[in-house]
Order: sequence, then C-alpha cells, then structure tokens
Amino acid sequence: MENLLEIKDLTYKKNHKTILENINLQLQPGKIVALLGENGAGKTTLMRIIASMAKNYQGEVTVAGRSSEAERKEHLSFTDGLTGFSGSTKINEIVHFYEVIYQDFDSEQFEQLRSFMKLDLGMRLSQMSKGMREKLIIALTFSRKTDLYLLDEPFSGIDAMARKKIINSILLWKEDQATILISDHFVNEIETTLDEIVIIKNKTIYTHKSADDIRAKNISVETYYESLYQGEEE
Amino acid sequence: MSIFNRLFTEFFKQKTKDCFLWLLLQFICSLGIAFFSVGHVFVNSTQAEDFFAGLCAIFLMLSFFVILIFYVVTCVKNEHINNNQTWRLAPIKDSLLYADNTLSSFIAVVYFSILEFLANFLLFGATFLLNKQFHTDTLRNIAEFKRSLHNVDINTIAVLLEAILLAILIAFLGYFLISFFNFSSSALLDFLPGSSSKKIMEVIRFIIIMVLAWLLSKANQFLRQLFINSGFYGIQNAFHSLIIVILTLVVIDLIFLGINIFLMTRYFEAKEKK
Repeated sequence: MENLLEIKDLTYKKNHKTILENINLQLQPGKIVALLGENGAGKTTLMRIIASMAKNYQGEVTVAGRSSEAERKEHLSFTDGLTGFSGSTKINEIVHFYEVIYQDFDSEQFEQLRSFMKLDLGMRLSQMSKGMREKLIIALTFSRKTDLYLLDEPFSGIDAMARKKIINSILLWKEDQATILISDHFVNEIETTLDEIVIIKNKTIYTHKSADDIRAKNISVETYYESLYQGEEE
Repeated sequence: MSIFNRLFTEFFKQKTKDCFLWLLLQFICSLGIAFFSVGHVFVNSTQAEDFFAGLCAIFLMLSFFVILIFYVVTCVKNEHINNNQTWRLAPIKDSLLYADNTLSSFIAVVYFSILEFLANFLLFGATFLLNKQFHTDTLRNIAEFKRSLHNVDINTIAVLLEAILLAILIAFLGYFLISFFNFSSSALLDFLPGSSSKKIMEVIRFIIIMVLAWLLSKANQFLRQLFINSGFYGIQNAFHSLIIVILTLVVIDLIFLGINIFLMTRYFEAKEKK
C-alpha cells in the first residue's frame, strides 16, 4: 500500500539550533498515530513542516504523493488556533470562511459536530472559553474530508468528560482511509484508539511502533512511553 | 471560482469591513470641527447654510488624510495576513497568496476612495441645495470649468493618466517595502542565535530593519547618481520625464515583488500563536 505521509532525511534548524535531525517517517492510510515526546522535542515543528508552515528545512516531505506545499495543504487538515480572526468574529463567519476556502469542507458534518460539541453558531470568538475554542477547532478540522489530519494537542483546554467523549468519537468522524497524526500529553486517554505510536527523542524519531505490539507485551502505551525516560530521571 | 479569487474575496472583506465606520468617524470629526470653527450659534438660516458649506469643505479636506490612514491600515492588515497561520494554511502557493493579499489591499483602498467620493458628493449635493451662495458659486465654477475644457489637449490628459499610474505604483511600492522589511528581518532573525527574551529579539529585529533601510537608501543614492551621470534623466519634457519615472518605478516594484515572493516562499514562516 502506498504511504500517505513520507518524510525522508528531514533536518530543520533555527536560531543556530538543530530542532529536528534525520527524520524518516512513513505513515499508511487509515491509521491513528500518536506523536509523542517531551515538551520541546519538536512535535509541533514536525507538524508545521508537514503542513508547509515551517520553511527552510532539508529533506523531502510528501502527502498523498504530493511534495509541493500548496498540494500538501490541499490534502491535510491542521488544527489551527484561528488567530487570523478577530475576537468579534462569529462561528458562522468562520464556517463560511472554511466553506469558501476549503472545497472539501462538509457543512453537514460540521453541523453534526457543532451540535455534538454544543457550540452556538452566533457565538463570537472573544466570548468562548479556551475549551470551547478547542472544540470549535476540532469540529472545523474534522469537517474537512481530507487524507491527513494533524492534531496538535487538540484537547489541552477541554474538560475530562468532554475529552473522553470526543476521543471516543474520532473514529466516527474520519474517513476510512484518512490518517490522524495526533500529539497529546493525555496518552492514557487516547491509547485505546491508537494504531501506531511515533516517539521523538533527541531531535529524531526514537521509535515507530504498532500499538498492538506494545499491548501484546501486556503493557500500556503510556507505560511503554514513560519507560523510555525512566533511566534519565534516575 | 479558483482559490485565488475566493481568497481575494475573503481578504477584501477583511480589509473593508470597517469602511463605513471610518466614514462615520470622519463625519463626526468634520461635524465637530465645523461646529467650533464655522459658528455654533444658529441665529438665522444664513449661518446654518454656512455651517453646511464649512462641513462640506472640512469633510473633503479630511478625506485625503483619512484615505492615507486607511492605506496605512491596509499595510498593517496585509502583514497580519502574511504572518498568520490561519491564512497561510489556505491551499495555495505562498507566492499567489502574497499577490492576492497585496492586490486585495490596493483594491480595498480604491473601494474606500470611491466611498469617500460618494460621501463627498452627497454632502456637496446637500450644500448645493441648501446654500444659495454656494449654489451660485458652484454653477459659475462649472461654467468656467467647461470653458477651460476646450484648452485641454492630449498632452494634459496623458500627464493626468501618468500621474494616476504613478500613484498606483507608489501605493504598491509602499506595500512591497513594508513586506520586504517584515520578511527579511524575520528571516535574518531566524539565522541568528535565539534568545529567551522576546523584548531582546524585538530590539534586534528593529536594528535589522534600520540597517536594511539604511542599505536601501545607499543603494538608491548610488543608482540615482549612476543614472544622472549617464544622462538618462536629462529629459526636459514633462511627459517624457514622467514616463521615465514610471518605468523606473515599475522596475523597482517588480524587483521588490520578486524578492518578497522569494523570501515568503523559502524563509518567512507563519506564526503559530495559540
């Protein structure tokens, strides 16, 4: 099966520091993949490079066989903080923007997600709490019918109950052959949905494993992840 | 409709959503200035008529100032869009996004100028109807203008058109220069060792911009001297002089456009503010 995401020999430096070095990663269609690593490991940077937001890197990145930045953006949906809109912008205005700019945006899907997240279309961004804003971002991200979803800490402001509900529903929202790459610190909460995990450590891909292989050893993904850092703490 | 056109529409909406608010504020300011300068005692209808004539004149004078401020605001909105991840995620090449963004800013200024013209026309019309002296003077001026039209030749029209073209090129040059300073300072900053202090980085960025501005002014002086020495600008005719200036501006605009597209495509990253 052809890879959905291919990264070859990716190195990224900024301000005289190497952020990512010799990254090689292949993801297949239809997978839910966790991108794990401690704070500052480079998870967000990797997602930004895939989404064509970060520049001046060495190496190759292709999404659905496309390497040009504009074509990659067509085939992925990235959780965006919506900072391009003023606080007075209403949700329905943001939805209109998405409908106009993204041809793959499904308004009916958004309506279902909006109802699920209990968001009022007339609400302004400035009136929303951090958690409500995160819910809106998730709803917008999954309303696009695309090949790759990049979720960068999507649940950070959401309460535990809502988080559980959303995580359990993710599978229902994505297309069968679409892949989700999710970076999140609540590993134990997302691990039941995971197919694979990718861990970034020491500026590179430390490991890329199947979640089932980890579970086969009778340990949780969280325990496996924590074990990689245990030696360092001691 | 292509993504270029769709994005243009969204950019244009963003930049013109406050147009009527600007006009309202301008009207209120004009009212205030007219009230305190022309006379605030409505003793008889003559003074009320004078008030409207004063309001009309003040609104017209403020128009040039407000259009300039609007232009500066579109420059700021331009860079906000260039910097912002929400807009940069649109599935379009960065070069086309930049062109789209800049063009929409210029068209927004043209649109606002048309609104100013219409607002002035309405005020003018109201004053024309209310103020007898103004009515008489305006009709006389229109008659004189009609007579002067017979003296207008093709050269005058050409100079007028060239002046308009010059204004357009200067407007674009303004957008390109601001983008150039934004993109190049940000790109250069990424190559320097970082600092945990945001304030220090801002100061360094300001210094980089000052250095770039100084380099540009030196380049400008050098090129001007080069062209003067070559006799390139030794043309006495106003029509031909303007043509040379226009051609020079076209070249400069294209150079900065090319540099900005290069910087935005290769080095200038969208900010990931959360």
